Amino acid sequence: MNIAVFVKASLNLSMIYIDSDEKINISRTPIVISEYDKNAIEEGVRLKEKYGGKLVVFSALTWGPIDKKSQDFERMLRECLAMGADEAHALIDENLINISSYESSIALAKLVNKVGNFNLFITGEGSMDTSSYQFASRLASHLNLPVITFVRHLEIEEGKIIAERDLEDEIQVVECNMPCIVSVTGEINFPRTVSVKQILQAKSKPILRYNIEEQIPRIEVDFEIKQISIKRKNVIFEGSIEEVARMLVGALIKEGILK
Amino acid sequence: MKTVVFSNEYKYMKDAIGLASSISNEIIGISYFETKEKPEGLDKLYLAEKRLNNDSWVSIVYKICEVEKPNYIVTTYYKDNADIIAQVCGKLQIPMFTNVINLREDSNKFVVTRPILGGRALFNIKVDKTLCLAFAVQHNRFNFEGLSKVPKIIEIKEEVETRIQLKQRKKKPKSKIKIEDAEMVVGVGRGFKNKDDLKLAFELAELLNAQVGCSRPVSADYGWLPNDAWLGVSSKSIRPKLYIAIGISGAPQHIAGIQESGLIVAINKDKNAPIFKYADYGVVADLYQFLPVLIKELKNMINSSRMYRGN
Ligand SMILES: Cc1cc2nc3c(=O)[nH]c(=O)nc-3n(C[C@H](O)[C@H](O)[C@H](O)COP(=O)(O)OP(=O)(O)OC[C@H]3O[C@@H](n4cnc5c(N)ncnc54)[C@H](O)[C@@H]3O)c2cc1C
Ligand SMILES: Nc1ncnc2c1ncn2[C@@H]1O[C@H](COP(=O)(O)O)[C@@H](O)[C@H]1O
Repeated sequence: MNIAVFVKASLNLSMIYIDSDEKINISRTPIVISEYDKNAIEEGVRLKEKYGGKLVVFSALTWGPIDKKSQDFERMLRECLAMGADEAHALIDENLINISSYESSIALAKLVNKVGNFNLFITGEGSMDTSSYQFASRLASHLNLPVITFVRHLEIEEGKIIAERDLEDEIQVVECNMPCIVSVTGEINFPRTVSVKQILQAKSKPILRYNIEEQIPRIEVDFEIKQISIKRKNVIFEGSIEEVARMLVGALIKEGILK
Repeated sequence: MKTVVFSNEYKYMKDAIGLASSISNEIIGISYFETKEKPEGLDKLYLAEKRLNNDSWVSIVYKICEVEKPNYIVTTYYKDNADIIAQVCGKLQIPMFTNVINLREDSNKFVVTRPILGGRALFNIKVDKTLCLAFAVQHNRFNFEGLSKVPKIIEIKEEVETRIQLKQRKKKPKSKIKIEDAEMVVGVGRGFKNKDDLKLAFELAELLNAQVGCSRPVSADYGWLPNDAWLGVSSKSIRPKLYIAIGISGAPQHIAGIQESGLIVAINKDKNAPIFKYADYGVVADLYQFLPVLIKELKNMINSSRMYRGN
């Protein structure tokens, strides 16, 4: 069984660089693997361990400038290989910088068709930086395949995927023939952690880098990202537990919360 | 301007009509409902007879868009709605903006605002409004009030092939109280070691007349509390007078759901936990030692005020 997993290099939410005017400085913010894409890889690795076959990672670099981001991007791909993927195919192209899932799904669908045939495609439920919740559904349209989104449990039986979808008000169990696409939630598994040593060991696995060969549609947008900041008092109470409890109750009374 | 408005469940259609009515004069609805709800605010409504799955909706909505040729497509952000419309947009090769909270016109552009970076930042996107665009609006941001248009109804009767079979639906358990309406909320996180220990939080909540909410793992991973207690970017946002975060680290996706609280108190044993940056008052302590003491202190206070008032 051949599996394709899609991994986004997202802005690192714990290292966001903010300029003095509250604007997010993308150029100085590092990128890392999007949180739930680790679950996507993990699920792929588990299925590969069970059913054999090849596990291939796809990614399009969407944040620039490319020279400042390529080291992080490379490290992310190595991490995926260390987790158990066999090879990585990456789009790195000026024309893909600052794009959304609208464009990246088209570019990656074209790359997938070039690389080979797959029985299953796995993505994260949403990327942690831009969270557009679209990539898997769009990819389904471009590859003309069925898609099951928000999967928190997955089984394979006789060439069929049986999946539990985690929706707002209900859990659904659905069934679908492969090939198909699934997006997985953060609850589907516990991603394994890899050591720096294992990442280095993955060095012998191939990473293939591509430019885009033909133009893809792209909308022109101007954008800015501004931090939401709400001022807080940031008082930390110090003292014995009893003293601190009394201070807290006192503060809640003073604030008019407790009467 | 013509807009196609879609919602898998009719009850969430109003939000989408809200945005649609501010950018267009002709609104075509697509939905399914079985009850006595009276559709309004639409010129035309394509109505399915029964509940359809996402795969079938995609073909139907796509076909209707080919006939109607809308300028815009609007839906209300819910997981299924976003999935269906994203697939339609994939086929039409048009962009979609997810979780839109504001939209304004600026000459020939729209300025679309949506939260990103786990809800800790706002993304303002300027885009040419003459393009065909899709929007999935956040619930409760674009309410529409009684546009009295009564739509012409067109029944959707065709059977569409579906590649996905629905085998089972299990309703999720619900809390009795809506946490969004609570004035005081106690939030619990992974600092609690097991479900039984949550009784400390419930005892505190009772004294404060508060509801208990939680971080994502407490609900989604452990199932200790129903999904409707889960606070944060992928679930509920609250604006209580008081929020007390206990054993919660303060991940951006959690903060996004509670940042508009009046007063924030954090209890965490790690003095470097990010939650303290977002708190008005912080207590660096082990919750298992601190909560019993705090509960006792509150009880004392309540008792003495009762004595004072003489009851
Ligand atoms: C796309 C996406 C969406 C997400 N959506 C949400 C969301 O909607 N809501 C949400 O909450 N999360 C969400 N998350 C998950 C989020 O990133 C965090 O993983 C999660 O909020 C962590 O929960 P926590 O704070 O309970 O656990 P942890 O991060 O594990 O924190 C536990 C805290 O408890 C403290 N602690 C431990 N023991 C004690 C003790 N005895 N006494 C006191 N303190 C103690 C620790 O110091 C630590 O700070 C999302 C993530 C992603 C990628
Ligand atoms: N540029 C990208 N490269 C590879 N995979 C991506 C990319 N963008 C999105 N994805 C995948 O699509 C999922 C959902 O992304 P989004 O539509 O941005 O919420 C992510 O979790 C990834 O699995």
